[in-house]
Amino acid sequence: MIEARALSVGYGAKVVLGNVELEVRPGELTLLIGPNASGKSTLLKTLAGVLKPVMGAVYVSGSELHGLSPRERAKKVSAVFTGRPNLGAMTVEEVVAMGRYPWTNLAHLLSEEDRRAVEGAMKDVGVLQLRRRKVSELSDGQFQRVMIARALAQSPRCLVLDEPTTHLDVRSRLEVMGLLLRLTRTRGIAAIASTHELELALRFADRIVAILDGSIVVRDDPEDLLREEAFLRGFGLNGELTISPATLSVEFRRGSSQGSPRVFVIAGAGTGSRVFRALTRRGVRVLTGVLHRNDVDHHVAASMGIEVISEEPFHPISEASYSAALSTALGSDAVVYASPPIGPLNRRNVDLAKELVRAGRRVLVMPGVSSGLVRGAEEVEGVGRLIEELVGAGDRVKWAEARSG
Amino acid sequence: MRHWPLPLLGASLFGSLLLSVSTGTVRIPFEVAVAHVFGLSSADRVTAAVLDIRTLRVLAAAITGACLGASGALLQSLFRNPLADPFVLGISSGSSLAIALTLVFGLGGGLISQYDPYALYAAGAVGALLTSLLVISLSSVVQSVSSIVLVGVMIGYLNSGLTALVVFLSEVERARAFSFWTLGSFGAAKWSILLPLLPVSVATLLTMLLMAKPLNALAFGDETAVSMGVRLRLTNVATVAVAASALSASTLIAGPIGFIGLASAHIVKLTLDTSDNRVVIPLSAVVGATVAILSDLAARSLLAPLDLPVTAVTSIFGAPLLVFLVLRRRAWS
Repeated sequence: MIEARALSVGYGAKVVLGNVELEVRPGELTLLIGPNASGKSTLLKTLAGVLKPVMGAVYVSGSELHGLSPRERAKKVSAVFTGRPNLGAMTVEEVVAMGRYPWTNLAHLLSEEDRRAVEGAMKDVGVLQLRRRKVSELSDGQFQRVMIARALAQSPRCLVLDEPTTHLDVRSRLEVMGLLLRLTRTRGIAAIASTHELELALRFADRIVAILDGSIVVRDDPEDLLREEAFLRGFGLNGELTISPATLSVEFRRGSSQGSPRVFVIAGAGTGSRVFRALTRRGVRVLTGVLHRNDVDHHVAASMGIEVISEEPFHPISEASYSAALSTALGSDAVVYASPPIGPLNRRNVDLAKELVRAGRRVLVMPGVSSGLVRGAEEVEGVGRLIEELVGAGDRVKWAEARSG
Repeated sequence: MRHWPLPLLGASLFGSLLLSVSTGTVRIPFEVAVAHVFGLSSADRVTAAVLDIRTLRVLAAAITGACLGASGALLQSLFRNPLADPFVLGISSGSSLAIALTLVFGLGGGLISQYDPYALYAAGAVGALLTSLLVISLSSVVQSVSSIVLVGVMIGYLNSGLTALVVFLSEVERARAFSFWTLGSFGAAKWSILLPLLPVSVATLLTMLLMAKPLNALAFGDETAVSMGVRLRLTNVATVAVAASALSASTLIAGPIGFIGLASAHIVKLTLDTSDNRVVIPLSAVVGATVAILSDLAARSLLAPLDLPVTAVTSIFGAPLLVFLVLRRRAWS
């Protein structure tokens, strides 16, 4: 376990981050998030014993980290920092074996125990089959795994990682996070890693540490942060960006309350999200309804700042919601029927579409499970076609003329 | 790592030793020379004297080359820069400046005659040592390796500038002599210098082996190395100190000699396909010694009885070899 007590970190006498009280517990993955230049790396370097604290102390399994000799310290805490060093002709196995540095003699000759540790680290991280390969030939994802194996071969109680997923592709990011989570469980080590990927952090962290306005906030349940104004402000999630507490996904809200043409989307059960994003991206003003508050489309629309006509969860669409939706739709330039699954609770959305067709509104029907229910409307075979119909060349002019005329 | 060139490197050092002892303007049969070197039979007095002179020269070349090669490997690893060599730290330029000062202004008063090569090389060694001490004391203040390189390069410029000034203000004759002595030669070697330097050089080379482990870790970057348990400042200072000691010894024997310090480690890395300093440092000493012996042989045989400057020979023959190895690496990998 790493404990930071009244810790101030920085360079020389300059404090970058003060008053850090923190525990990184064994068997847990703690993730550190914070805006750029907020002191994440400085904190991690101090926790790894590489940087001296400006004030306060770091304790590892009870002993003060910075009072230990470099080798004793390295036996307790190992680290993976950013960057890809040029390791020349070194092979994966040689690199991982360097992790035995604090345990070996002056000639760095490996004992039987050292070999077992190296072997075990390569196996746990899944790079055993790469052992004879040169590290210079590895992909970034493989290289990062090898660096983690090297840190593990050091047989530490705690693992400190600075931005271990930066520069990796989506798959490797998830794999590295999954790997860290697994290692904390199987080896019972304490691990702390920084990341600037909020969604990843919220999903993978056992505990989350956020740096907000120069001080740290620790939460046992990462999702608690989503209800805190300081967090949303600090990470810029209260303006153009929003985060949905239900899906933990970040949405971009690009002036969705303006734009033209005005398009009313009838959706539900996830059929609308794609349409919302595609249309707002092109400057269309999207309105939607009737959506139940527990519908995934409702979450997406709300996080994008789209105007929604809502209904209470698990209630049939009420007359009030229906007429609100109808009047909003009648005031729009076009209607998109996203063909959601239809059941007893949202049956009236089909009525809504039909009524709009009867009223002479332009209704575009997307292919889907309920596309057959709305007759007499234009069918479009996909989002690409839909966009062409609504905002194709010259259409902006047409809509503008239609409104003025 | 490739293992087969290992015996080859050892054999070429041994072979070049024997070849160099048995070759020269005085013809001595190979077997006579070999037998004498191993003390198996005593040659006549004239032959013995000739062989003694050659052995001295070969030994001087071997020690110088080993010191240069190993320090080159050390510095390249410390600075994580394939171009690092004694010139980068300003050490070579320090010895050149000292040689220029001695030659032109006759520093040392009447104690040493200006054209005594030993005096000049002694001055060169003092210059190298003083420059190294300056670099070490500055580098113990700054932490990062790139700052040390910058400090070294700047000291190098300072030394070169002063040297240029000194040479410019001197007579043509002395300027010519200066440029000769700064190219280095094994012809000035004496047993009286070599024998005391032998244990010093061997001790220095053995100390360098201790630096292999921390230098291997430094390849991961300063911070990661520290997280592995490396004492960073100690490693930086000790490496520069031990390299400076080896360079001073080699300057004392043969003057400032270029190229070997830069090339030896590359030859080892490219032929053995390894970056492990536990292998690269000792073998750079072996390769450095071999290159120095062969260069000396070429320097005194090519235009015999003229003794060519060693640096000219090392560069003319060594540079194409290194380029060849770099180009071959594509085919190997």
